Amino acid sequence: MSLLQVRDLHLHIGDQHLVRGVDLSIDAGECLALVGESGSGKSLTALSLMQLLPSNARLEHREWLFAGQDMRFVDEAGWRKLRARRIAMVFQNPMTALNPTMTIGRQIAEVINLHTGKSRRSALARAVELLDRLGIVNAPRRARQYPFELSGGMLQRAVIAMAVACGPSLLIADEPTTALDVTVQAEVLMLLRELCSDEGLGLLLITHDLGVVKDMARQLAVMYAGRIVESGSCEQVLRDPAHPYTRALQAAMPSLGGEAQSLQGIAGTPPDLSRQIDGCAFAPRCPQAMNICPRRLPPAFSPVPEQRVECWLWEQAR
Amino acid sequence: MSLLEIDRLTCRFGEVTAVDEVSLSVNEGELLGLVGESGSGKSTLGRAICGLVPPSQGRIRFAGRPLPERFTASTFRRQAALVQMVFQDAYSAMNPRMTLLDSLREPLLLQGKQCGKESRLALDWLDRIGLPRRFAMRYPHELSGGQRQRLGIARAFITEPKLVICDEPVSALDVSVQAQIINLLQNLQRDTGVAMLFIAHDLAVVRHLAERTAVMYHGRVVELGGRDLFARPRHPYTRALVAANPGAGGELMESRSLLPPAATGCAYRKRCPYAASVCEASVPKLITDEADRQVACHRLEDIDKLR
Amino acid sequence: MSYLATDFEPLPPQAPETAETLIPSPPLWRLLLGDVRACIAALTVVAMLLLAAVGPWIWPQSPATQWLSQVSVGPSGARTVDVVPDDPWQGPDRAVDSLTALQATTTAVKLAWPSLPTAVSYRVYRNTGGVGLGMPLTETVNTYYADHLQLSEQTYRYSVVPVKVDGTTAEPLWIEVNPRLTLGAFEAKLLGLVPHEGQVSLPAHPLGTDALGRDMLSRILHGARTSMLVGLSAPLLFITLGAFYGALAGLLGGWVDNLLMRFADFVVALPFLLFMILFRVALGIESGESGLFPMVLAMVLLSWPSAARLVRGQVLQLRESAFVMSARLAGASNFYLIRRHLLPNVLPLLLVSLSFAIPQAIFTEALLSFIGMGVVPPTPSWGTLCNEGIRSMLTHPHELVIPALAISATVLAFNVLGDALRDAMDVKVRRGVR
Repeated sequence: MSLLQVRDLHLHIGDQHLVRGVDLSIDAGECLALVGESGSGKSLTALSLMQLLPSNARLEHREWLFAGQDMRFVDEAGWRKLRARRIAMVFQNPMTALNPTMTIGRQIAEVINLHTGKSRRSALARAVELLDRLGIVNAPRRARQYPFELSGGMLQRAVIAMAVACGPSLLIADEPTTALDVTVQAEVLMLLRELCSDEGLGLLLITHDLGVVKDMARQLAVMYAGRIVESGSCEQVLRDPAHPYTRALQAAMPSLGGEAQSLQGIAGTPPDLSRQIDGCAFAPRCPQAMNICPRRLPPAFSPVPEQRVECWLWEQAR
Repeated sequence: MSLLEIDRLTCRFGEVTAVDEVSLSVNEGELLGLVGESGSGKSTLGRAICGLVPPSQGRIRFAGRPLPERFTASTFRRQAALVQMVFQDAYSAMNPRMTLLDSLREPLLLQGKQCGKESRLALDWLDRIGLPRRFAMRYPHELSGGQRQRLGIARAFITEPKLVICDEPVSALDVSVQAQIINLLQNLQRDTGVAMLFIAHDLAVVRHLAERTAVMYHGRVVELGGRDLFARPRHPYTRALVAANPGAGGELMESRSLLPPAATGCAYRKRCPYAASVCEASVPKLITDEADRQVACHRLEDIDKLR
Repeated sequence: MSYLATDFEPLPPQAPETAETLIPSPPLWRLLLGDVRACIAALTVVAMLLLAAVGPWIWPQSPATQWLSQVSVGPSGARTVDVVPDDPWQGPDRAVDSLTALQATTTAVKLAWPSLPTAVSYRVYRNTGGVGLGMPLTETVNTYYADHLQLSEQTYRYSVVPVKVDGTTAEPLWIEVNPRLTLGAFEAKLLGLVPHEGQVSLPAHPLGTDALGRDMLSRILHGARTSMLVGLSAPLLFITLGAFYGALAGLLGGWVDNLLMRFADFVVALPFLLFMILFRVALGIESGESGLFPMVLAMVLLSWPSAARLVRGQVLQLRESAFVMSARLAGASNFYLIRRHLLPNVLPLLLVSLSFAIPQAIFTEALLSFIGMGVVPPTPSWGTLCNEGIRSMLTHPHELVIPALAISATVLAFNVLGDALRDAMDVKVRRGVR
């Protein structure tokens, strides 16, 4: 049974319909990558799953199960207990995720102390242990330092330590390595991968980098204008993308290996999410758009098992 | 013939040495890539070439003529026809209180060579970067990130400089937009024959664009090579960079990326798996390893044997 | 599912829309026009400025004229009143059989009463309502009395208490009197009014008069001149000065910045009051002469550092931004950078500080006028009007409320206008929903 199961998630903020029917399912110990460009709603989906939304947000869903629990009946107090203890989140910028006036160790210890009721001393010891586990050399000394004394890579490790301090079963990482150098990124990604396999942690990895996805995830979901347009096993989708948007994304990315070929940008801009979109949101930018595309929302097709794509091309192909 | 020659350039800010004895040259019409992690001094090098950062030592020669010692408004004005810059942050690259037309016209007006034809030239450039002319009277905040970066590029190219320094022009952009900007830069370079110094941290982007690439670490160029640089990296740091590139599928080379650069000897030695006592003793010089490849590593031959 | 035959034909190639969803922002004035509170505030500000500028011509009463017969009266219209001679009263020319008011005017209330055989003297009391006899006016052996004491148009109850030989008092006589407004002959001469058929016409006082009988409307209008002059000129000058100073310091940086800002710190440490007095002395202004100029001078010379610091901080940020560097690369001089790139971008901030500085300057002027360092009586300013109004706050609240309202409305209008301008200039708010 899957750890997290969400069906038909919708998010409105003000007059903007930002998430437009997202289905997600993550298994324990598995990494699901959510890929999309800025404004596609991938970060908002993550914040919705943490119930960390502005007051004028309206969240709707048909089903929402987390570890067998129906999340419809969880109130704010319940959410406060769930966050950190069961679901944790890592943000893009580690500098703003930490309080600049508190030492790293105390910040981690505070989370432990708050959620597990351990004494401050043992919480601090656990914090140092976690920092050490996350590959911070000389952890006891680092724990006594303030965020500005640490480099970005170390801070992001500290943030991850804080996130996993109470042993959550789901970790949501929103572009955790975008702000980091490539060598540091590789190590942080490896750490996350280890956490997944060692502790059976479910990981929702939000990123725009298909390379990161390839290294990290077994499952992949591609988001465009608030909908998941294609999902499936990472290997299958990246080898044989079924949606024109996924293909366009791949064609736009320069690669380090192989022959250098000319890059294909995607013309146009993403749609205005305050308007109603009847058909496929990508249709105005799609090179293969057909008459039906802007008029009717494509249903999900499965070109091969384990791959799901919302595109009328597959109806035509049938 | 080389357009830009940098000879043992050093830039210090107090105690910090951002650029340390860098020697590089850019040929006319060439696109030189410059990669490195944050803090490697690549941006400082770019700014020093423009005159925005005063060099502490060494010299920069432009088409055979040395750069002036001190930059004032008038030297910048003279220099404007030679070198221009495209900035990373497309959001702050335009004055939010100026219309696009004013922003585009500004360098021409300051140069004062066009006498009255500035507006026409600015509108021509709007066409060239693929923005509708009716955008001329709009303000930067009404544009998307990609459109803003197009304008930043137009502003750099409008004075027809010989060299354009692109300081991470696509790092903040989405993949699809990034591809458009890269294509635009490529087309412009082809059409105008301008030389470019393309600074980036994304190896794939640089590989896609650059004929030659320099890899910087801690203020020094550690490796310089042609198009095969990333296919056959020689310096341990370049190897680590290539291996760490996501999706490359390579085995991770180092697990000590958090260690700070060493203060003496080879700056990379603390992270380097091949470090030996010789690395501690002296700073390795950039030496020609093979045809169009220069590497600064004491242990180059030993590494070849080890692998 | 059913499909049309044409459903799967390719769409005709279309020009992909480029950012057409982004609405071009309307010009500044239209944004302000759409903002109701901004419109009200702007109208108020314009009205206040207009009143200060042309008000004294529209309402040409002198703010210094004292209408002694109309002290602390409420709003009144123009009217014609009799001029009454001020000669001392020699008693009634006929006997009366009860307590009678032979004349009931605001110049004098002349009372006469029948003599009581057992009485040796009479005590006269005046009350303005309530129980009891009220204020003792006199004890007299005559059977008449003329009351000249600060009469106004209201009901007075006069009581006359006869006192007997043994000191006991008899039942008092009383009468209620409503004096009619008149002008004493001397006062009329003093005010330069020539009686015509024994009458003079008095001007209207739409906002009443103050405790010295001066027309409030005229004082408010003349006070607006003083307050606006100080409240606008000083902040505008010192914020402009500070903005250029701060921009220069921030832009040049290094030791120049250090030097300039240390000098700013030095200026902050100078005591305002002391310097104002010094300027007065240096300019040879004696006590009793208007000290407005040294006041504005001291404000301008001592208040600019806060604006300078504000602007410097912003400029330090802005000068690292790409557009400033790019302009520098294109050969822009420092002055050009300040004028074209830096100041327009700190303008919203300056507007906010201006909208705070204006009320502060108005209040400073009020305070200094109160201690005699500002305007000299009878020149009014809103601050001095408030100070004078406080004294009669309980009996005649309009004397405090009206100038206080004028200050509040102006200050509020400037604040709201500053806010609205800043919002309208802020690109993020201007963008609309996004």
